[in-house]
Amino acid sequence: MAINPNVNIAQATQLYNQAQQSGIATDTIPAQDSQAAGQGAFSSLVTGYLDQATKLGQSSEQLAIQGIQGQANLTDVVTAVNEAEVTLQTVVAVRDKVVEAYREILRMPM
Amino acid sequence: MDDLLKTLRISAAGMKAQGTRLRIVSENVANADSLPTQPGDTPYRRKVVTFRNELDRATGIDTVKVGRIQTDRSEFQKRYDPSHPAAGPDGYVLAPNVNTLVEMMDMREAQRSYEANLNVLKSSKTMLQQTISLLR
Repeated sequence: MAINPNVNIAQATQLYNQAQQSGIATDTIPAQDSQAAGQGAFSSLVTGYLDQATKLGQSSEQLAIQGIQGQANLTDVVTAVNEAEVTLQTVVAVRDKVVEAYREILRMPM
Repeated sequence: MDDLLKTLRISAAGMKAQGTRLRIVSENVANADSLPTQPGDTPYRRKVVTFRNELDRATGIDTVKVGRIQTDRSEFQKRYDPSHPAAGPDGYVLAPNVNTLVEMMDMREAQRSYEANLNVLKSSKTMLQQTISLLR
């Protein structure tokens, strides 16, 4: 596949602007609000997952308490605890990766 | 919500439905000898459980729910026992229409279905955990 040298410059600029606004191309953005937009896509993903994790964790706690009292179905309790465990493991793994990346950046020599 | 997490919920619904089925089987077996007390009464009628498919609106999944628990309309059995208080003029007492062999087979079917649902749940949980282990 040959590289087309006659790529429309206007098209390229337009696509780059779109990428900037969606937060993908964050390396050359000087403005501060664009920085926030650049981190927006990934951080909204993480916060969305954290919200789901907290909701699942709370509902599994409630079901576990009801299960001890003898009011909830055993299958419901086991399923809710499984869901919460899996979501928590995901959140912990993502957090570990983010912290590791942060440390890696800090270790970079000036 | 993730498809694999939805699988956990669907398998749990299947397990609950089979649990209800087993409860009805145990009721039938325990009441297989529940004869009437007076000559005009009917004995215990065998119960049958039906399942129905239900679309869960919030997550968009097809779960199973226990439909109405209906009674089996077949004929009552007759036992010859003139000394029983509920014996008719011919000496026969109406007995429940419960066949213990059929109930035992139903119990084994419920157990196999429960195990099948449990295996699906286990495999989806394993898949989720293996995916997460990619991050470690």
